[in-house]
Amino acid sequence: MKKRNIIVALALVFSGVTQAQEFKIAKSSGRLELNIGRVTVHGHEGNEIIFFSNNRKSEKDERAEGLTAVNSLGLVDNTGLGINVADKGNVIEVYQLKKTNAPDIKVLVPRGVIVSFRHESEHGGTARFIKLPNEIEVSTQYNSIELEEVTGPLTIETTYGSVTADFSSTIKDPVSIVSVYGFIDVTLPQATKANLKLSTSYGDIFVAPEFNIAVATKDGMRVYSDKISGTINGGGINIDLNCNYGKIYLRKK
Amino acid sequence: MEKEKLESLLIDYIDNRLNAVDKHMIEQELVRNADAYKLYEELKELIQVIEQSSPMEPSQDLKINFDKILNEEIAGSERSRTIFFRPAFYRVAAAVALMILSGAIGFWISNNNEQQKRLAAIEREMEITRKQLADTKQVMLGMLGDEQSASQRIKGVNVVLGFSQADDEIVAALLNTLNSDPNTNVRLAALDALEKFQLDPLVRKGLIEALAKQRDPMVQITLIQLMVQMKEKEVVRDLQRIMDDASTIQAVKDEAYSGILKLS
Repeated sequence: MKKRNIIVALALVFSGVTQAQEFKIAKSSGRLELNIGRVTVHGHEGNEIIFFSNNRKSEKDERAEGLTAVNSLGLVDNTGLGINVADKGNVIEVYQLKKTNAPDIKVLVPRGVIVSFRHESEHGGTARFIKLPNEIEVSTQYNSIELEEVTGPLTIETTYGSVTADFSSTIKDPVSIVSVYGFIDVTLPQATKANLKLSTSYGDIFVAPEFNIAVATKDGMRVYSDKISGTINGGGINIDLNCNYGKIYLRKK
Repeated sequence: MEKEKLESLLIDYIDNRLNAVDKHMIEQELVRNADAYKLYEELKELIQVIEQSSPMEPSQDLKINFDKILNEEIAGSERSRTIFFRPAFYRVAAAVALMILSGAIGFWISNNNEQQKRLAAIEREMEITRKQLADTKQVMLGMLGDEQSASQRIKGVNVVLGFSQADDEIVAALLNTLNSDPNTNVRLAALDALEKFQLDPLVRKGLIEALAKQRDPMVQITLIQLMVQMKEKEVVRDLQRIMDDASTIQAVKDEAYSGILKLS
């Protein structure tokens, strides 16, 4: 496994730069599994996955020279960023070392990699995915999720967090966003052709009036339920937004 | 005189048919002309032979055979005569009836042929559709098995949503997905598809079993809501167990509680 460490001395020379260290791994397909507390993921045109740390604390502990940080699971910090990156063939697994202290990591991911983010503890922050045209899978308990200029396919699930998604003009089938307590706020291009399934048990569904949802009928009758099942602009990709207590907001752009 | 005239006169003379004048003339000629007398002798001989030969009669056998054949013919024609209606009207009616009957039979035969051909064509189409369905099923099962991408698995489940009925293999695949897929969204999609086929007893049984096994909160909630909608009273015990389980989140417990209320 290639491992290129930018020397701390250089980092100290370029002091004032917040992105102190980076870790690269060459991968342009397969899955990237991020099991960390928070993350900001960007897409880029290269063929390497690049990890940066946004932590201000970029000074290296001189006392720890020659030692490596480890945690109770036996994972070592092989990146210098507080995370362990392991190449398991088709899958790159990323774990943070500390249980309650999530490092602020930014990742640049090539186009062909499926990005997966999982986190179950409450010690974390928002997971952001920006300008990322990849397939994205997210499963969190407490983390809120923000997606900007994404295309899908998306499978997103959160128990207590909320989901805010702003799609770019092309959207890929399928899009499935599920939340138990949090809200789901989605912005779609007005001309999107989609089969919509919007359901909330105890919340409300708000839709931009410019969207004419053609509600599904069976023998000329509509089902009276908590689920809106219909198409916009004739139908096409499957968009499934499912809340239990939360509300659904469907905006146009 | 010429020979022909002499001949004919001589024949008449031999037959004694000449009148007295001609008779006399001929006799004179015969005395005078040796050739004429020679001719007279020849002719007389010839006529005698002709008169003496007996008339040709058919043999007795021939007559008997001929009579027999004739009688048979008459008898045969007499027999065919029995289906020959005397009044002309009946004859015409019979002919018309026969025509109509043969027309009807011909029409019926051709109709039968048409039906056979159409049946064969439909069977061929069914065979093609069956094969296409089998291919789609294979593709769908392949997508469901994609370990890399949850979106592919969801797409596989969405294919089933397009079917009007699901066979046991598909139901088993969906139940397996519902119970053991690592991704919540995929499980929910499988549940959505199973809801479509909820009338299938295999599906009902599978859903009841799934409720006892599920630990995924969103799936538990949706499953409880489905059981309530299906009025499945058998799950009340499972709902109580869910409520008593410390590891279920509050939202699920609330849903189980309301489910028990609705089902009791």
